[in-house]
Amino acid sequence: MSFEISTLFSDPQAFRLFSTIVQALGIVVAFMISYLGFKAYKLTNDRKYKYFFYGFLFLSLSFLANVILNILLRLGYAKYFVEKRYTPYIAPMFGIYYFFLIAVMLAYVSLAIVYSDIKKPNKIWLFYFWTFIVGVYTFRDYLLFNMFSALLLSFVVLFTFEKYRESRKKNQLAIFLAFLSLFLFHFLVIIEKYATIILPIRYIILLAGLVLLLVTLLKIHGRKKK
Amino acid sequence: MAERRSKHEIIYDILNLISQKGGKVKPTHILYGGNLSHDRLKKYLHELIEAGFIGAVEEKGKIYYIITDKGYKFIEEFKKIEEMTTAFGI
Repeated sequence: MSFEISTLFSDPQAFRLFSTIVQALGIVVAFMISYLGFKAYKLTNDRKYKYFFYGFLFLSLSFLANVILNILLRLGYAKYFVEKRYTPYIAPMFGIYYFFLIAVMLAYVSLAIVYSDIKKPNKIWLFYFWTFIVGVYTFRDYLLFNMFSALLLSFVVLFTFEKYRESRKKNQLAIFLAFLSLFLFHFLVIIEKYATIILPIRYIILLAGLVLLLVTLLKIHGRKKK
Repeated sequence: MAERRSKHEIIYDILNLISQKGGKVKPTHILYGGNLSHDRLKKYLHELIEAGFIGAVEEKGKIYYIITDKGYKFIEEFKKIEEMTTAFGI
């Protein structure tokens, strides 16, 4: 295979292709988990599964929005977007980008609700409301968007780590590491402007997290019937 | 102290019990194995029949409960959900 890992760090086109593939995998994995959450909700009527389903569905949709953006950028609409020139082409791109930001925020707040075991609807709506507002206002601030995402994910990471420490099960370790990868994917943005190499590294970390989620999911689906 | 079982956990326990006994049991087996009062058992059995998870047959004047394909499917789905719940720690 002629493709080498160093290409990823030096060729922007290769990197864009790589990040699109990673996010396409994200669409599939997050959608599969959300479907399992939906089935769990249908079967048990337990609200924690409803928010779990929402969390992964929003995550899947955010990956989808990002993949569409990547394709549009590849097709040559990047200049309008980067220059913030208001042409008819730009409106859908801004719309998709907004959708991506808000979907990510709503995904992580849904998961934080599941893990923090909040049950009262008024508290849940308050969480959604403020997250939505932050999502809207992070439009111009990439760092703020990623830091707020990391903040929400840190609850999930801590909780899954505690669960793993209690049981020492491999599946729980995989889930903890997967959420830790998602957390690092957002958190490492803080040093990205000092070292551009961080950008592809972040996507490699994201890929590792998605693979861990996929492996756990396949184990659940592939369980032998007794 | 043991945690209270949810309605769906009780349904799973009843179906699993019937499944492990070869798919056909007397009500007394469910009563003892399911750890339920007589009234609650009657209510659950009625619900399970209504949902199509089990059926009742009469043999030599005795009532037996048999698990249906839908009941087996519920067991499989429930096990998957339990595994997901454990893995994700939710």
